[in-house]
Amino acid sequence: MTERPESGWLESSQPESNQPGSAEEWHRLHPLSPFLRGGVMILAVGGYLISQRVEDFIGYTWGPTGPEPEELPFSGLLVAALAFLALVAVVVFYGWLSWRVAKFRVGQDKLEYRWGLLYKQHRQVRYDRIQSVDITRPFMARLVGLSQVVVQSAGGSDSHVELSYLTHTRALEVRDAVLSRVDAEEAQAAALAAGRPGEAVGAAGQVTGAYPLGLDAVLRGTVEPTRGRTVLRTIKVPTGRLVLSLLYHPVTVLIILAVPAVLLGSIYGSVALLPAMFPIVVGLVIPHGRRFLNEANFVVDVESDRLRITHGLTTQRSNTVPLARIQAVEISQGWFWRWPDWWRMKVTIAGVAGEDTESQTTAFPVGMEEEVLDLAQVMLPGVDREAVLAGMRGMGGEPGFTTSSRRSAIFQPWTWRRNGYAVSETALIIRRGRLARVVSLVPHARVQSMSVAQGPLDRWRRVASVQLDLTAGPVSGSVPHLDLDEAHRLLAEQSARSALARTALRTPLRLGATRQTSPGEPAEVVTEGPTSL
Amino acid sequence: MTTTPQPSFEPPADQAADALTDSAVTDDAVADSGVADDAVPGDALPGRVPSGEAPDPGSAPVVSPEPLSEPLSEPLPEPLSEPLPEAPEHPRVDPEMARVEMFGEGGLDWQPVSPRLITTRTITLLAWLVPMLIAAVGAALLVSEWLWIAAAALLLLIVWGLWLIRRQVSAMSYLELSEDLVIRKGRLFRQVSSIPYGRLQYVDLQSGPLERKYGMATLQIFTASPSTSATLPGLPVEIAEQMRGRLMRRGEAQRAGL
Repeated sequence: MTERPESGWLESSQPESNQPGSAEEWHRLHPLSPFLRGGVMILAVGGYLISQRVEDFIGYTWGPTGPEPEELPFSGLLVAALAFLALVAVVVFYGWLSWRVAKFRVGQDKLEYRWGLLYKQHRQVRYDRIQSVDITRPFMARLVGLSQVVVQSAGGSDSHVELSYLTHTRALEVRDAVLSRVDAEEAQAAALAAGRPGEAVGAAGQVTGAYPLGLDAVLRGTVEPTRGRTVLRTIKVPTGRLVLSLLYHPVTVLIILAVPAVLLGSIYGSVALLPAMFPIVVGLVIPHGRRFLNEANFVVDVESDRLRITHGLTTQRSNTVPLARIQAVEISQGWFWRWPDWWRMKVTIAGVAGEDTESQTTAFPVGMEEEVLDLAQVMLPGVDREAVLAGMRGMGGEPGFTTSSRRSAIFQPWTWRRNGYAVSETALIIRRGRLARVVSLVPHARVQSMSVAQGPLDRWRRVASVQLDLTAGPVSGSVPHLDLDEAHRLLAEQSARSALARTALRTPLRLGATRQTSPGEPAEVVTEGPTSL
Repeated sequence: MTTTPQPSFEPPADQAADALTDSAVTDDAVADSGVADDAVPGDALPGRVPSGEAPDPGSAPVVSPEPLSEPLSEPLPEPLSEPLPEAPEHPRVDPEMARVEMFGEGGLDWQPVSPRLITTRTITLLAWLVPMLIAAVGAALLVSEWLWIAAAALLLLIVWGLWLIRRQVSAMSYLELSEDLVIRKGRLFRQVSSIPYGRLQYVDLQSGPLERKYGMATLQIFTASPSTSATLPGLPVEIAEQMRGRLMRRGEAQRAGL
């Protein structure tokens, strides 16, 4: 806990500020937000219940053969209308209250968000811990021109700051303000790292002072908005290819085979087949439909030092990832994709893992070799293109690749020539699998820890597997069944490579803070119990 | 955080001397070993430098099998640079890390865990299985003679467990290098983990009632990766506390961003 506000902050409308007179201010969300977040549902359900009650009331008074609605006595309608109005009033009032307390601030060194009527919550993410910034536009919100900004930090979804909702232009402004702060933080860290660390501690305060402008400065145009940054390259997934890739799938073949069989079966044989098959087919098709909705209009914009990944048909999502936040990249090709030669690309970003994060970890859903290689080079500058290509296509014997020991062929007769790694300037290139091919690109600097493991069979064949531990995500860093000496060598050499690469990531100490918390630490969450308003 | 009397990050004097005289390894030694020279990116720092002048892995010589039989332990004249915080220009293989082996000592100062861990684990095992054994024997006497089989199986299990505990505990050891903590454990399924201090997120020290009675604690180290397995049971409490302090300080000094 670096900062914990005093107990009085909840009541004060003008909260504490580090520098008096700084340009940072608290901003509110869009007034429609509470209704989009659930108010509309409450109104609809409430209205429905009230209308039900009206019919009960009518039925109770006049019996089932009551008068037509036009003949209803005035009082019945009045009661219903009043009840509905009261409900509307309550929902609006509650929405207004919760809107009033939800505020965010793009502060000096952190983004802060406060919300909650009964349970006050205060969440802050320091800019150096921000992993990516998302703009999501769910269908309903899009209809009224609103967007949601999600600022992701390394601690997982519990530490993300979710600003829902803002007008779309406002959302873009907030994103750009936050990203420019992240950049500033980064530049500052780099400047400090370039200088001598001992003196940097003293200098930090002045360097911080170089970025005193807040969101309002950005809005006024004082700070260069990052949206103005030139897009170096745009790579799109053609809709046709996406549709084909979804159709060209084992499930489709299964359906094509299964549907006639079921139809014939239900015509000539037992009738029960069709209703039994229906949910299965639907269950198989639904994920495809969802993937289409999610991955349609997939565009990757390459800016100088960040990626912007935009996708989605109904719910649009635009994810901005600073390149320095990419933990690892995986290029894979399922066996079914061998013939059209499509590749899928995933990234590991700290804090984005677990259920329902596939849409956020997919960097390119279906790409051709060139696109994928280009993107890999953008994501991990310094990674060797030829080596990645050898990782994708190589069948063994490529220069630079150290593969599984021949002695391990007994465990992996098909893949031992392919399973292996090559060293590139910035990343380790690990390739696995022959029928379904996987290439993991693991930046040296992002290796958290390593281990060499050897089971009894491995011992028999004098081999061992090396595992590079990464932050949670879709990319795996395991190199299976290397020759034992090779495994030891990889451990020692990769440790050295990672150690050297890590020195570039060193974050120096800040003014007045002996850093108890680590850069990987999630956002801080302060939750308080009910307080008087 | 506990403070310990050892404020420096230097390895103990004997180890440092070891590094100087015995087996200092330079870049040349690394370069000799085939693929490794791809890892030495010229004068370029790792990161965002175009790979123009770096050796091209695509055209690099194929890994030759010879160097593998001599894993980087040849003594070379040039002494190692100081341990961090100063960044070296090239990746330098830590000569001690290069000597880490699955089982052997490799001339390194592997620290065993406390043999008292055998005692506590035995107690835990017996606390579970002896009552079951008694119950099985009782049931065999009272109910059916066939249940002697179960009793015999339980007895076998106990004997095997006792043997296993000894083997496992004696297989655990750790090593504090200048930049990494190395933990070895397991005998049948052997694992050697190395955790760089700079990657440390936090260090946990736990001591249950039984452990406390025998003056031991379990040290658990977390990085940002959930797959990091770095649990070190059976450390004498004072050693564990010193170690935690040391790890925290080294982590602080060598900390890198995610």
